[in-house]
Amino acid sequence: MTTNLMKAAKSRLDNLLPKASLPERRFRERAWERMEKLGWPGRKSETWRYTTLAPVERHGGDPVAVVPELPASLESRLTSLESDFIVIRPGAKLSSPQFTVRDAEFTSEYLGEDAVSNLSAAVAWPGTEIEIAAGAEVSKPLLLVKYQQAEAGWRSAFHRVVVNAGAKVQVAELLVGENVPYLRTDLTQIKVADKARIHWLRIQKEGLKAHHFSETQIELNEGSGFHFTQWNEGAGWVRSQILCELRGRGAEANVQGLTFGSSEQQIDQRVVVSHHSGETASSQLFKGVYKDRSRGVFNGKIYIAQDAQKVDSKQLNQNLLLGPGAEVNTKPELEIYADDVKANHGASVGRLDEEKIFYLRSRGIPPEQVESLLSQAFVTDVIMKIPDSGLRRLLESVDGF
Amino acid sequence: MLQIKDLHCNVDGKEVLRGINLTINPGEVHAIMGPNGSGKSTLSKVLAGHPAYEVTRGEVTYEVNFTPRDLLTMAPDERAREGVFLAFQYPIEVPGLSNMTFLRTAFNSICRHQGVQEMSEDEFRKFVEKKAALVDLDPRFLDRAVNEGFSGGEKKRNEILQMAVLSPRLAILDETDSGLDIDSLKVVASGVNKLRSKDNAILLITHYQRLLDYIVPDFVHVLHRGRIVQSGDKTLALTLEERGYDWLVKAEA
Repeated sequence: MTTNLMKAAKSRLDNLLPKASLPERRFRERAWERMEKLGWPGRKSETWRYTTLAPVERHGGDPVAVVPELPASLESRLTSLESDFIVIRPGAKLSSPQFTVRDAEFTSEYLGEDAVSNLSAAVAWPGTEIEIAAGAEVSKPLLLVKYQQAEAGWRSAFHRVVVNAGAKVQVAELLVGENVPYLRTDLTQIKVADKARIHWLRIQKEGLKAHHFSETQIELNEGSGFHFTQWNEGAGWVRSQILCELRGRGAEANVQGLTFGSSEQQIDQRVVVSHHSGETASSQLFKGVYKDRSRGVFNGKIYIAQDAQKVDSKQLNQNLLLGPGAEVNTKPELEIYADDVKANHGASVGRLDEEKIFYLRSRGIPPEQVESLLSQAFVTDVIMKIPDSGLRRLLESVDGF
Repeated sequence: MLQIKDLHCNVDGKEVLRGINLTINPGEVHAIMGPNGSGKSTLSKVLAGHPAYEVTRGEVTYEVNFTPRDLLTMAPDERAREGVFLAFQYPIEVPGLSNMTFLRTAFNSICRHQGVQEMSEDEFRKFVEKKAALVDLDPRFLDRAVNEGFSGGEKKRNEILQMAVLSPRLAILDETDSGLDIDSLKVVASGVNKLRSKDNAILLITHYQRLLDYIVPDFVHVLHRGRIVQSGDKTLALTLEERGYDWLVKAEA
């Protein structure tokens, strides 16, 4: 493989390894080996059927090792949010009895799902590590800001979140950047210990010229809970992989998505929820609205292991096509080895109902506004399912980012 | 205000209106009655601009600022901003869109068009709550999704509420009485009566005479097989109630 991306990765790895500590070296080498073993996905690869990696493969060059400077407009927005959120800017280090924020260390094990995430891991920058103390309840939601500058070219980062036993936290994550054709590959590992809860809202609003790849791995232990909502509106090329592992009895995962495609955007989302333990529950609810010539892919999988009995799982993907050239491919996947389980799934792709359009227009509302009101109405239930009003409120002003 | 001349209209390739002639002046209340399938609802949809109804012949002029305009070339939202309102026979449910947002967006569209100052959110809420009282609709309905889970009567009251908020010049009420019990009918009728004025006109489309006891029309027209076959004053409705439609139908044949 001689793509720019591969060449750049190899040269980065060669630079990083001599300086790396032993665990870091192991982290990078394992990821690289795994990447080589899995092989670079092509169009024939089942999980990359609908999305070409060509735009990503063109990226290369050396990363810039600086903490990005936030533009004034974003900075003033963040300042105004400081009364309601604990704002974590790039490179921030915070410490309190409830939680710690520091640069992520490569001490844990991380293996990506496919060659793309493993390549990213092998050359990843240390991202943000957040640890919530056992039993702590963080009063305000954390707001994790990820900003990428033009000079970064291709930047890969590894982030880590540990929610210790019985802790409760809400996190809003904001992915933004300069509107240039950079590539962000972002990896996040979230460990939720026994009886801990984490509610997460990810807002992806990168510039339409940007390329965005992310993989989020979540491990849920006994009696723990995870509520995740992903708002995908930015970046011209998007691939997100969410891998959620329910490993303890009583664990519950809710994974939601709101996708807004426009112009020529390509937004590919893959979700795998794996029930390794019995008496666990999961729900996937993904809704997408696609305008112009945008394209969406949803591939949601429910896996239930043989001895994971009494599992309650469901998945729903609904899409609204607004542009004549908009397109969605939706593919549910069930892999179930246990017999006493529930697994419901459904998918739909449709257009706006003509009778609703006429009803709203007959009240004087112009067609563009009717389209926007009905699109909002279509996704309202997903927003209302976000359990925290603070996170929901952030979405009310999402246009400002 | 409204002049319909020789209006023909097709629905799914079938001719449903076959030459309607009707003139409505400011301040007048007209009732259109007729058996099922006579074209009553089609007429209301054509006037509101539903895209599925194809006008094949005739014209409709609507006076805007004392100037006659061709209503049929105006988009449905433009007609509404110029004061045409249709209370739907079957109001549409819109899950996820709150009644309040819907009303406010509609109201503001009309304000902007007419160059009137828009209201603040608080002012608008107070204004709407007063109008809701007019049709005896609990203010809690304002924060619910448009018509979702509303009973038949609540849906009809919601239509009249929209009418009260948007204060149209020409209101077309399509079978607003159908499915209403007598109490709801009285509430809806009194709501409509409060909106009557010398500048506005109302076109009532109804199957039964009952509604006309509460909203007394100046003119009654009988529609049969896509044509107005008889016009008269309010006593025509009483005759129809007594004798049914058959005598007219036979007279026409």
